[in-house]
Amino acid sequence: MFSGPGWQMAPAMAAFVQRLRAAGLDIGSGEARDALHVLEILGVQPVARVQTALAAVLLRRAGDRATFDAVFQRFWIQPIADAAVELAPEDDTPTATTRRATGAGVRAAGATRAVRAHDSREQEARGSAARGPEPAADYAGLSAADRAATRVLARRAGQRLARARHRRLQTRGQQTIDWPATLRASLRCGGELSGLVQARAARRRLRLFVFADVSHSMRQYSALALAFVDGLARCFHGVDIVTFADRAAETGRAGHATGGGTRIGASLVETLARPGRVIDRHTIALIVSDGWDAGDDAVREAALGQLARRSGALYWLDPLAEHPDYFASAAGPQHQSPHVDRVVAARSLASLEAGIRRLPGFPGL
Amino acid sequence: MSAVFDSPDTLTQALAGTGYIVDDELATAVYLAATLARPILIEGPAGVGKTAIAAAISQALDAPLHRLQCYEGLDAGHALYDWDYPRQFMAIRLAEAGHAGIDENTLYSDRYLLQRPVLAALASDRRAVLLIDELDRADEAFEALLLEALADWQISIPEYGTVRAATPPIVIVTGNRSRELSDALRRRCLYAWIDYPSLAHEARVLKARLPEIDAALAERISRFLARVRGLDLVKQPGLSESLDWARALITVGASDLANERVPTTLAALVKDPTDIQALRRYWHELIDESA
Repeated sequence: MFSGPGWQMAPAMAAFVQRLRAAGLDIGSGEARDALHVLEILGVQPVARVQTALAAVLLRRAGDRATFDAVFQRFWIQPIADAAVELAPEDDTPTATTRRATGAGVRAAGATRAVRAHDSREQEARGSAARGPEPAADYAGLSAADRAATRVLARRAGQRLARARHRRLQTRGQQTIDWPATLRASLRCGGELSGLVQARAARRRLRLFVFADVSHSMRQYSALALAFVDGLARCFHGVDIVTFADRAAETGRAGHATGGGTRIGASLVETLARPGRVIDRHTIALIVSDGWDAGDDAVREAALGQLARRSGALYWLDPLAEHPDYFASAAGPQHQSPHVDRVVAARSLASLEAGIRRLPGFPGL
Repeated sequence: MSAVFDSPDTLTQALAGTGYIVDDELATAVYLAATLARPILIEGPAGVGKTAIAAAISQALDAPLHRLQCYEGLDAGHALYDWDYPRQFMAIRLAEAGHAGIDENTLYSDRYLLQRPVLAALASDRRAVLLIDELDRADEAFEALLLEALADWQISIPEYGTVRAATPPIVIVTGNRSRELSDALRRRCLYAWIDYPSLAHEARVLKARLPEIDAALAERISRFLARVRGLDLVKQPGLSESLDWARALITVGASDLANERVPTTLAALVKDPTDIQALRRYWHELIDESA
């Protein structure tokens, strides 16, 4: 495999790169050129080593490796057998993704309803009248393309959110002296001290604290919500993700379950009391939950108040917010707390994109 | 192009000579980075050997290692170069005292140029190894500062000129993914991911790094840790914790994990009180399963 000068492989490499791009990987022409160069350097090698080498030059993220391996397998090893395999479409815009996701959701709706029918615990806690309507299935059946679109949206949002001036990050007016600049200015004037140069206050990078509800009521939303949070988290300087549920659920990044049931307040109290957790005015707090809370209102309000006071801003990502029928029959939107700076509807990718426009620093997203 | 290593296998052997055991995937990526003269971005959990590989390459090549530890607020003055302002100021004063003029070119010369790690690696008269450690801790703006150095092997200093590397250094950039590094930087680097070691790989590393360890104990530790990493811990133990723990076991004279002293050494393995409690809770099951 891959014998002879690398440039003889150029057409095949171009086609391979095209396949990778079609599968959602962001690969530039520079990487494609490097890949050809690698083939020249390596010469005849076992397939596994060539695969590894191409991955090293073509990929920039560990998360892309599975896609790469699948495309490599199909393109180089089973080209005939897999000729009919369709890769993900290239149109990954949020709007297009929403359309696809909606279609997938329709297919998965039956199974989702079946699962919900078997869940009696939360229904008992809420009461049948408080169940609310069947949520839109926009997030069900999350495909790889949907996750890719979510990551793109999350990264765009995260980059703005990480730079925005949140509630507790307004200018404080403190000034410091830039000594190197002062000396440089002095040297320009023959050593005379002509004045002190004020340093521009360095903006500290923000951390993100995510408190994610992965209970049953969030079942069909948690995958996309956490995919969104995962993309968002990469734009911050440090990330702390805590999930809470009656049953532990996986998070996209490091996280662990705490508390129990859907008692948001009690879980939050326990989380905030845990030593070593850094939540200060350089930390943006994000609660991901549908707001169902079987716990005590006073406990929840106190915990939200504590979180709001400690953090730079407190936002709430709710997949059911703004649902036309949800709040009419629900026990009440628990995030309508004075401590929450902004609630973002996250019922679908489109509503999520619209919702984050209302956050600080998002007018032109 | 002069190859630093003849092949990935040569690199594997050279690193093994320093006690660093590398798998074929990482060896190929590093070999390509050295051969193509491109930086390599290595990501992975803490304690799996991202930083250690730079030291191992440096040792294998007998090349100087320049380490840049990144942190929030790191700037060009601490990473690339800076001018020795106090000495420049003194030179001006001395010239004034001697009623002599001072040439600006003299002020901005090698004499007053402080080489920080990146410039030191580029200006080195022989191939150096540059470790840019935990780049994700630095600000995004700092990444932009590195682009010229990492892409063109040069640094432009306005008052001085352009310093270009005669021999491009081997550059290892590491990150723990605490934030997303920019696409511009990623595009200039090759990429490798180091995950927690496999059972066999961990045993090999233990035997290579701790020649005094009993082979059976090394394999038992590897099996034990494979199960520990399956627990829901705040911080999974990496390879460095595994080595620390093995050293601790040797120090207390425990030749087997069933030894009663072993639980007292857990502080070398996990660094969170919740994790220590979790290990103590499942201790007997873990010991039985790893037997």
